[in-house]
Amino acid sequence: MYILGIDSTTDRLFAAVSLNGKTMSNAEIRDSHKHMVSAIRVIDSVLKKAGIKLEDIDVFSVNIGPGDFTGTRIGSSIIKTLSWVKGKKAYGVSALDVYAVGILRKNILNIDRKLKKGQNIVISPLLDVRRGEIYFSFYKLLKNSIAKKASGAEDYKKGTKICCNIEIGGIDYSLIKIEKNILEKADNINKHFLNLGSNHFYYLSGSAALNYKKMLSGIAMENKNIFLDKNIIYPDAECLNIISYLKALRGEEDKNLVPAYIREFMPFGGKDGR
Amino acid sequence: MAGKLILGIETSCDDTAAAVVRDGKDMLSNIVSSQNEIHKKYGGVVPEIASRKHIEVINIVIKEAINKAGVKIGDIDAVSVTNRPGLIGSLLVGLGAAKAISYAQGIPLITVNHLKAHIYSNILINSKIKGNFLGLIVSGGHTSLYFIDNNWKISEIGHTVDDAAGEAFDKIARYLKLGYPGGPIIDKLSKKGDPSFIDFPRPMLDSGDLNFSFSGLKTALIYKTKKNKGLLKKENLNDLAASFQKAIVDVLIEKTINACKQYGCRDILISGGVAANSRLREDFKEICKKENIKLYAPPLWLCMDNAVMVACLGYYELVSGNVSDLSADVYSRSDL
Repeated sequence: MYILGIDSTTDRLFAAVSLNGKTMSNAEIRDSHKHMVSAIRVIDSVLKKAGIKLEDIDVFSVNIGPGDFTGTRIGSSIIKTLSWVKGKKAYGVSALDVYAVGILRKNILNIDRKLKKGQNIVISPLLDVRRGEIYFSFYKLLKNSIAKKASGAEDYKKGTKICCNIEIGGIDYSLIKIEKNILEKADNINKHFLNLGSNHFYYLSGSAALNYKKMLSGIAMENKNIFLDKNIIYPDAECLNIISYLKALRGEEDKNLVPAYIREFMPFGGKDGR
Repeated sequence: MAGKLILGIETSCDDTAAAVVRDGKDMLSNIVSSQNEIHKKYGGVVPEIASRKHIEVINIVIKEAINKAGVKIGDIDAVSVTNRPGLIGSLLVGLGAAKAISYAQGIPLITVNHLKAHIYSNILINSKIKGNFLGLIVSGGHTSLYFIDNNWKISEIGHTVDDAAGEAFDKIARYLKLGYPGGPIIDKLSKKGDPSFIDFPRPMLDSGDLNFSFSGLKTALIYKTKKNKGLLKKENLNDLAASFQKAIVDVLIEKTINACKQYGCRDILISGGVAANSRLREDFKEICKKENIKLYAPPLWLCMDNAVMVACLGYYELVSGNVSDLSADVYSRSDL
């Protein structure tokens, strides 16, 4: 199964082609928001690098945010139209899921060591969504068999909360979303980490990890079981395709792609025009 | 199927529109999804909200245009899309969809100017229209005069230096708490009102150029009604609206007629949302008859934003070889 994914939610543009969940080609363009100019060229380049044609793509995939409003709409508009013209499915993937898979893949060696010590792994992508607020969620790394049960009777068949399956140290794990998305004032965020069990180890990253570095470092210092990765701030299309591959295997419906926004847009500070 | 089928896509402001036109003259479908109801409570178009709505409906509107035309996406020969001027966030949604279709189908992409499309759309109504005419595009976002020469080369010869005429209608309607969009509401009230009730200024008539200005006129109304609150009484509303509308219409017409004489034209074309104004149409008709000038006033649906005009112009750009590449961008302002 060939998947083409693009991520235009930040000031960089990412594209990737995967075959059965494995990356065939990828690209990153630092075009500082000029995504409309680069998009088709980048899509064409990853297809050529993978040695396939647009007709070969089975599933289209796009990061639907939350992210940069305009950028996210560019990706959504192109991907949903490509999928319609080609009569194939298109999946929209939450930015938090993409970041969570990215944090997992980036820290895989470290996580392997923690798992061997019998620690439980929790991943929390943190997005800086302005107005002093952080948008985040929690993802747990569980053995595949446990993850299927933990995802609940309802979800067991669909397993919609599982973002990716990954083999670590010869054991199959699943990354599963365990919380709803949370929008919180940055100042209040530490309360969400207060009831950490000592057997859990947390990996925090995302745009807020960079922009609220000092505050989050403070939380990490107080809690020995928190690791703050200040480097990863970009989602990428490889992770996006991994998630979409699982969606496709589960046979998820593809809906009319619409970007995910955190807040309803309120002009004039929420008052009407008069 | 004989002839070139062009798919037009238009998302420059708050209407999501798609259409299929054959050979730049035969309209096969015309779909417009209006956002008026959404922007109503703000008294004007909110760009971010417009963009959000465009991305929700863009594919639905395009599919409907294809279906209504009784063709398949594979039958389309080229895709034409507005990429200037307009709201950046709105334009991007349409251009993204157009590029995807062009790339996936291997058909040409044509990026067109919204205002030029308004001018070309008249071919749909009157295929005999030749060059050497005067064009007035007047809407919520634009108020400009154009000279179109014998080769259909378009030159802007005048424009508003502040508000567009439609913008002035919207702002005054908001001030008078009449609703949105302001133009049609003021037009309706004016039919029952006396245009000589207040003698508003006719701005820029003596400016010596072909530019417009409507901001001061708006201020004049606000100033007069603040000074004399009685003017805002319900029984005066129709007269107030009629007087304000008359001032705008008079300026638009006089400047256009002057330009027509200055450029030695015998034909005038009006388009854009405000060209739907009944007073403007009637007065234009009357004066053109007197001056022996031929007036082209397209039907209302063609004056408003639509994708038929985009597909129409797209055809002429295609046959002239003006094809865009897939790195095309959008522009909030642009020359023709």
